[in-house]
Amino acid sequence: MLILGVSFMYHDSAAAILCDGKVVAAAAEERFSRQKHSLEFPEQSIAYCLRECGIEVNDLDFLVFYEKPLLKFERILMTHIDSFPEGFGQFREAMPLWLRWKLFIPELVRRRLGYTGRILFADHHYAHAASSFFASPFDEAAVLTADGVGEWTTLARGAGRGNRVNLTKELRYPHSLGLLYSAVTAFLGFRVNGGEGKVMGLASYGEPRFARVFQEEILDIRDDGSFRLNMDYFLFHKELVMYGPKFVSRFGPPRAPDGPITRRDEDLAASLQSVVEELCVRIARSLQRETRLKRLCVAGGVGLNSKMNRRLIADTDFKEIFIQPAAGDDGGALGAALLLYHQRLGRPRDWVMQNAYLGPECAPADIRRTLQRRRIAHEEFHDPDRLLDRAAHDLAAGRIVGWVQGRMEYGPRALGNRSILADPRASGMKDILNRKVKHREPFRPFAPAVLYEKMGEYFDLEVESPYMLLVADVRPDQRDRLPAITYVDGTARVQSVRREHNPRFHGLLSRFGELTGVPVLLNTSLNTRGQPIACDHHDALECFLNTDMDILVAGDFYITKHPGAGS
Amino acid sequence: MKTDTAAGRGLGSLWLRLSGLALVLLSLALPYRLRWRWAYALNFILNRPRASGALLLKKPSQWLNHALLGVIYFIGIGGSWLAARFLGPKRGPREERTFWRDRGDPGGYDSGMDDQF
Repeated sequence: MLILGVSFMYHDSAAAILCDGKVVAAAAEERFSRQKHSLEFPEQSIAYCLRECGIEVNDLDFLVFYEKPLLKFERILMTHIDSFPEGFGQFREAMPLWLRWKLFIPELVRRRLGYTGRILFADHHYAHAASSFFASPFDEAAVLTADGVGEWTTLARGAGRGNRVNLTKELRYPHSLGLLYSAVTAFLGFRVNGGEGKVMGLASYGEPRFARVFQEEILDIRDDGSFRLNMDYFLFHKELVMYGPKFVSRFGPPRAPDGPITRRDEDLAASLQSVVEELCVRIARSLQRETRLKRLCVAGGVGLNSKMNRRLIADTDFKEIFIQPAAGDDGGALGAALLLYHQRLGRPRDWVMQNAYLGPECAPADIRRTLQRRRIAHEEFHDPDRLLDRAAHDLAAGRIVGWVQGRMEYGPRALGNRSILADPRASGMKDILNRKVKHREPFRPFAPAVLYEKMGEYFDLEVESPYMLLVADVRPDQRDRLPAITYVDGTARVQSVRREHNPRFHGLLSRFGELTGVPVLLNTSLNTRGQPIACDHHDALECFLNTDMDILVAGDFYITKHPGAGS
Repeated sequence: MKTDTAAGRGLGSLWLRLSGLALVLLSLALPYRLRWRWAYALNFILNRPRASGALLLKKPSQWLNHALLGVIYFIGIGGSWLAARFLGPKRGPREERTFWRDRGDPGGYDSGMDDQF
């Protein structure tokens, strides 16, 4: 049975394909279209998924969309009615898109793909829940989903058992943790649906001196973690801006994009982060009491908040946690397909997500041809061990290495297949990478990848973190040894690497550990500011040639900017 | 604390559905290309009123088509707003122990996957 899940129309369009319940391929459209957070119809990701399966579109048994468009339209109409006539600006922006294509998903799919089979529609938060629980190794687990908004739901909770997931309770628009986070993101001068991670990074620098303002004025919080937003502070429900004049009068003028970051900005980020963490911990505790389960699955865009995730495991009675790497709307494509297969069709589960490498791979012949055509200095290694030795020596010598191997990651994190790697021991490496390679804000931190079996020596983390979605304290005696990946608050967003999940990356970490005594690498995504992560060797080469990266390793090819460099 | 100004709580659903239905039916009644033009025209008239005024002089029938959407907005959305304001249930301040809402029978979500709502 072949099922294609698709998500598009809001942000992070994607496609995922299931063959008899096993996920064969999944990828976000932005990687192909090179438009970050693309909301367009995911034509190229769909084409990739079909190609990976070796099928035509009409071989599919089902195509399933990740949300219910008419329910969403109902919410938008209700919002316009409630905000009439102030919502006129939002109406004139939104309605043409709805009338043009958002109300006509089946027609659009059939026209764009020539697909004649069945098209189904999943509930948005059920798609999120399914993307986590059905991909997890757990037979039963509590489930928590949180994002900006789906159709009406902004946060849902429930449990999964076997091939069923059941969301029992929800919070509804406009009372949304995701939209609260996005509103502050916009206030701090970052891009909504993209800059939230920067706010999380900025939070480490501040003191939560505004936390009480959030708790007592902006939010109305109950003991069980349920809450309401005081909409006097916000305008996202009726205008094209996220926050209102009252928010500005409370916190001062908003930060201009690319403006200087002040102490106020850092403290505001820290306050927001602490309140969101506290709320989610309360919700998780109440969910744990209700379900009495020891395992938790998290999904939705808020699930990408690695500091919050850490508290969900550290400060509740949950003992294990699974966060699907594409926790945002790109993961909705996967979730919709899994929901259909297990919940609707009643098929048993026999697939567990072992890694996030579900995207396309670069063929060696294509890489060779490109390098020769563009006359780029390179060396082809036929012995993988020699290649690993060479790259490890480069890294230990302080060089910055682009690393393109195997299949691309699904989700927003580079997990060792589309990565930029560097020595975490070098104290100036963070600034060099931010300034010369990533071209981004100087406060942005970098994350470590570590051998799973050595994780405990360097980080205070009792569960594995294969998708870089958990923050942990760097052990105090290691902080001075790992300055490039230790945040200002002594933590790091850890990726633990098992050999069976990524043998080549594990091999590189091992070699680097043998050379330096530290089996840890700084691992950041292979892109520059505002660009999607590299999909193929063409994107990787552009990134390599336009930055101060020293070496690019693509498959078995060791690429330098100048002949003889790096040897 | 004022939280009930939020969209969607307690409004008359009949008015909502009628206005929504009017929008959907009018759109569905049009052939695909005309619908696309209609949407484009709505965007045009709302964002560039001066240019759309010039269009009125040149192509009055097309402008009429555009204006129809504006009428739908003000009659449909505005009418629903008026109805909710004057005919809808009156709400006072509420004190709730929890803001969680029950999601209902999950079976409905499974069998409802054929539907867009």
